[in-house]
Amino acid sequence: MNRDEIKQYLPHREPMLLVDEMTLDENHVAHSKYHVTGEEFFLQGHFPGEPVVPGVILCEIMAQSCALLMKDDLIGKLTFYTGIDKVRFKNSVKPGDTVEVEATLTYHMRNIYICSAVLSVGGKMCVKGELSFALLPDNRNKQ
Amino acid sequence: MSRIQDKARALIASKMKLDESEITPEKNIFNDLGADSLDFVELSMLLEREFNVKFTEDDTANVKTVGDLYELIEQYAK
Repeated sequence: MNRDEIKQYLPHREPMLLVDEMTLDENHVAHSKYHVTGEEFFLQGHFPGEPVVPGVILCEIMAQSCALLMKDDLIGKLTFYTGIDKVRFKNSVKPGDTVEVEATLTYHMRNIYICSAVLSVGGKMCVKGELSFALLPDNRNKQ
Repeated sequence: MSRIQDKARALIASKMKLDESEITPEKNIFNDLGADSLDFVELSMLLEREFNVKFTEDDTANVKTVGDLYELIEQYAK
């Protein structure tokens, strides 16, 4: 799934669409990638002369990858974080890095989804954690 | 109190960071124990794993009190 196809499911748009490609394997594990070009808004000032992708953005990259696990449920919905748990930051992510995320759905009840995700660069783990979301109706086009 | 209820009470107390003495059957999980919707889903996940059962969404939709949860687990864990 490329960026245009991802937009059919995820409600996020530039500059906050943070998944370039995603595949779903036979075990229902999502594998996604995002290339950090160095031009992203979140690198401005974080930090001058030493750009590093903020941890919260890495969590958002994982969250969007997780959301694609339930892509068919996303139609007509917006995704809202309900929790972030057991997050550990191991290594930093810098311009030029291609981030890879492996995301798994741990549990689902009603409109709440709990997922686990690992974000790495070149096989080196940078972040891992458990993320949860609620899917709520997207009323943007309704009067 | 049955062994199932003992184990469930300990899990609920641990999840909600409350003393076990506060987990009584008449307590409303949301209003009395302070659970939000995510707490409830996480609690259901923990209980399913502990007792090796699987609740349906209809089952959990009717759960309001600790006693309701005990009843549900006992129904599946027979």
